[in-house]
Amino acid sequence: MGRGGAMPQRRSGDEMSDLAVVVDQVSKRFHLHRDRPRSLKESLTSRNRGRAEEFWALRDISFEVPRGSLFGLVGGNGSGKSSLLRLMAGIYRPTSGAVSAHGRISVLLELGAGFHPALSGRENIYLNAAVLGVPKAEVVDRVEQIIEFSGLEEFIDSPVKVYSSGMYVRLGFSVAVHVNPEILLVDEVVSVGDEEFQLRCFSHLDALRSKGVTIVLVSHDLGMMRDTCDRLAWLDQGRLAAIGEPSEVVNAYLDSVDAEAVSAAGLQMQAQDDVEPPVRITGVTFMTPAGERPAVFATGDPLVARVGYRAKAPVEAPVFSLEFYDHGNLLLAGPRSHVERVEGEGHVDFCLERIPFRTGTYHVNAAVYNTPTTELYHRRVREFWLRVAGEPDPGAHGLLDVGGIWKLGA
Amino acid sequence: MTERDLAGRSRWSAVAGRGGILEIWEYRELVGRLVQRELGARYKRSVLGWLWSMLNPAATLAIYALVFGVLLKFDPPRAGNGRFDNFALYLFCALVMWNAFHGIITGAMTALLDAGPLLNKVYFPPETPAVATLFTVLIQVAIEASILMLILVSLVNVSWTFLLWPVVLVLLAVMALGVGLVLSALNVRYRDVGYLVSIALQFLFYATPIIYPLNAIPERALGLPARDILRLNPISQFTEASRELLYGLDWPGLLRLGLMALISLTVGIGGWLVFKARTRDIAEEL
Repeated sequence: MGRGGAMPQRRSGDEMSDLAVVVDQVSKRFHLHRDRPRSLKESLTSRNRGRAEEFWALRDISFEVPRGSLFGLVGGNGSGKSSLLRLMAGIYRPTSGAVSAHGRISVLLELGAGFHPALSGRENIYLNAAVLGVPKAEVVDRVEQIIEFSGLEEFIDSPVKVYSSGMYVRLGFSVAVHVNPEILLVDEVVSVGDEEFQLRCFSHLDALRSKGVTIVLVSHDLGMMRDTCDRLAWLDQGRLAAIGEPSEVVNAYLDSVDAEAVSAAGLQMQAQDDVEPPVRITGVTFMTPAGERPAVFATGDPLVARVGYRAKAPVEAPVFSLEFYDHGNLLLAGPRSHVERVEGEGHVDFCLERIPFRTGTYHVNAAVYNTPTTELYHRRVREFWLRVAGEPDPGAHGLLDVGGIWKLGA
Repeated sequence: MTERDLAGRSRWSAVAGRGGILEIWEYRELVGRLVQRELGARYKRSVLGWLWSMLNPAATLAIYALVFGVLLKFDPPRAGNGRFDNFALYLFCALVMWNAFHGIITGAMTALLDAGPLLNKVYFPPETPAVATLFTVLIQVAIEASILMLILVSLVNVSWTFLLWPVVLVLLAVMALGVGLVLSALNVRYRDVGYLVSIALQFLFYATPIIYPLNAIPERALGLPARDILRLNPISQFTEASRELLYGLDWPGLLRLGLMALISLTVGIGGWLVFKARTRDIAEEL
């Protein structure tokens, strides 16, 4: 059965074994049906029947995922990440080109994929495993492990329709990673659970990778992707915009949307690295008021962002600025300092009583410039990352947790 | 789940591998789970639970027996042992076949739609839910048939022909699955198919000798050879055979069995092939 228009390449067996997934010149076209005729009558009477609008979700994508690597896919909404993942899982067929996967695939596309609401968590484990093509004997051995990992011991014999969305994810993830996959495809789902479970997920993904499991991850969380993936691919409107070393790909991705942000900040990008500036940013450190440096901060915690500088000669009235960006490169806050004078090495602290950012990884730019002329002395872009997790109210909406209290009127 | 590489694919894997006609075999585990799910979820939160799977057909049978046997006084032929005649039993022998046919077709159609959200998230052969429904229906029908056979045995109306009955049931099931698969694939695109089918099935029910014996139909009606037309209805072959085997203790003969096998395999395999060709991009359509 050919699955695509183009002939698949022939490869020797040895070459194959190093590659878990080969995506070869894949394009995917969807037919968009504006108010598609759903009934026979409409279909027979509509004039332009059969000519639906076409939409190319993916165009000429080629890459290889080496066995045992953690491969990341980033890109904006509608860039084709999820379609590509579905093609890799075999759920969609490519319109042209070929996808080949070598090994048993486990896929987690949405929370609670394949759960039956009326059945208990335990029954759903078996059902979900069968959907993933896992023999019963293997599941029987692992069912206790799955339950333990999900942390749902108390609820495992209740019907899943009473579960919260967090519990769905826990169970779904737990099944997907415990069915002994050789290739694990995970869409933006891990970010739904609470902080403690997320950490458990990532350490488990790490453990799987060290066992030689190939993992393909889709996420908006650029910071996390940069830190954990071996290779990253950036999809832009269905085309492969960049692929390679994660930090380079993340930078390229952010560059593409960065120009506006820079001009919005009103800064002239004239600082050059080859000329030693009068003041240089030596680093940014995130810490608690007590001076501790946790890897992850919680929403609502106090934060001290310590900006180190070095000035070779005294500089009058410099302005230090920090810019906090979210994963979509939206500038969330840009506090500016007014310091009288700096000289030599030292630091300025930006103190925040409570972190307003909700769960996510934020990249923080630091800059120092001259007040009257806004001449930029030095700027460091996308080198500093702030991880925030654990919110007081995970059900709240929006980008920020602004605090505040509700009062019932008389 | 097996290798999906296209380069070194053997002839066997082209048939049994992804998209192949026999790949369902790789997913027999899932079929089993889906059957368990259907059976398990069916009577949850009902006090009588599994009794409903008996009470429902019993009620239908009682209604038909009352209306057509008692009120309209349809006359059943004598049973095979020549000692009694009973309209309800005569009716039941054909009804049990019809229940299988009806259940498989309507079940296949809803099963595919229900599996939509799942097919969109993970790959498995799209015929899996329909095949699971087939087994669920067969289990239900097997229960009904065992009750029927128990009653017949208690009336000392029993013969080796009972052993042939499961063969006829399997042939009917294969045919029904072929029809059900094609209709379910069409139903994904045009939901009218579902409504049309429910009307067509009602019509077919009355066009099949189930609640009446075939000889209750006049040779000619409306200027047409009515009885012969009804006899040509493929379902009639199976319901009549069921009556002969269980009630009349007779067997349909090799010729008619061969004919049934031919119809069954042609429709079954043909329907399966059409379904496979039509559902290659089903995940996008659902």
